[in-house]
Amino acid sequence: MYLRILFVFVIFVFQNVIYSQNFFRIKTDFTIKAKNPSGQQQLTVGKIYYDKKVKQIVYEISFPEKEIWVQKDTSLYKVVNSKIVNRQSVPNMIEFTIYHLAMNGNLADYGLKNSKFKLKKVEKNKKGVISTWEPPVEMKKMVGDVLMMNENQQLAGIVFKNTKGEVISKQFFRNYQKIKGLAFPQEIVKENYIKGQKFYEITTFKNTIINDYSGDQYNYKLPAKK
Amino acid sequence: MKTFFLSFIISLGSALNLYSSDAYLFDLDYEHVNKEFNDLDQIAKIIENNPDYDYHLLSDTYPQLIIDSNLKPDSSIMTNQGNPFLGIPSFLWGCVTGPLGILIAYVGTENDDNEAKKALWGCITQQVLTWGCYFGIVYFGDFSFYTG
Repeated sequence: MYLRILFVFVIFVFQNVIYSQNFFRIKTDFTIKAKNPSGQQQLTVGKIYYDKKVKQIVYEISFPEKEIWVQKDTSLYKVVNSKIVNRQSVPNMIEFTIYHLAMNGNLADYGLKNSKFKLKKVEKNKKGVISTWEPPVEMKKMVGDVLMMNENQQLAGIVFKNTKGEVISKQFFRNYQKIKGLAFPQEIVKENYIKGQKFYEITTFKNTIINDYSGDQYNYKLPAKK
Repeated sequence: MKTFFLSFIISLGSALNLYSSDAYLFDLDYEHVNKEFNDLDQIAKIIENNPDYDYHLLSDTYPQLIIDSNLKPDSSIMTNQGNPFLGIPSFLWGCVTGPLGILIAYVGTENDDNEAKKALWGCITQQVLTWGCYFGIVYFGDFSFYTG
């Protein structure tokens, strides 16, 4: 009897680990539609390649221009005709991208469970379960609470607040599709707030492939800088 | 009676919880958001049917659509591209403050090489203009009144 209970407990505890080890690569077509507060619009179309062992996101863009962007560590490189034409410093947030979170089975809690954020409040209502996470002391001067809503144990939305408690950004994860047992959203709607103005960005995914063995874009090697 | 009272308390609690909660933060007017992107949906369909189209080809073929949609020629992934430090063009940083301006433009844009290059051109322009003026005055200026 005790052995059975122990077995069930072990399976329950390690199920995330077992699942997450199964997924290591994701490839998907994407379209980003964005509008800024001045009314200008942007459309970006391409493919994304991500291998969690390589830890670099490769964006193969086909529109507006044919180019490759690579996000690795704290840099974002733009490559045109096999030449690096731009490099920007970006926060090292690869482990908080949906690609990495999904590959590791942490998308449902946006990786917050394994972070320094502390669970402050949980409430259940008709929409789902809303949890509020407060940042660690060392980050409290920079960021505010993060609220997360889960529906059917899937991440449905996340709200980021500033230190004053004002909403600065919202993301809604929609149309989950199960691919090889992995639930991955096919649409993300972002609401960004800048100077009191709200503007939107919609990212749609299609032709999502998990654990693709073909092609070497996942290990894209940056050209040497001349 | 006891069961009824308990159910009432639970229902009331749930109702109060719903209205006092943060649930409203997760309201999304999806129809409204979709309407915002009607123009881009049209362009996205054209791109889907013509995968070889880039921005220039699209603007040549559908110039009015580009104007109506106010479509920028760059993509939305690069966060700081084209945003010079403090909104002052990097060329001016280099032109006015010289080599220090190149450093300011580079560091201020979080190591954007392109902005640093613009500042470098500004710096070169400043040097060319300065030396050009100097030699112009020295060689072609009329200083005869000094020599009597």
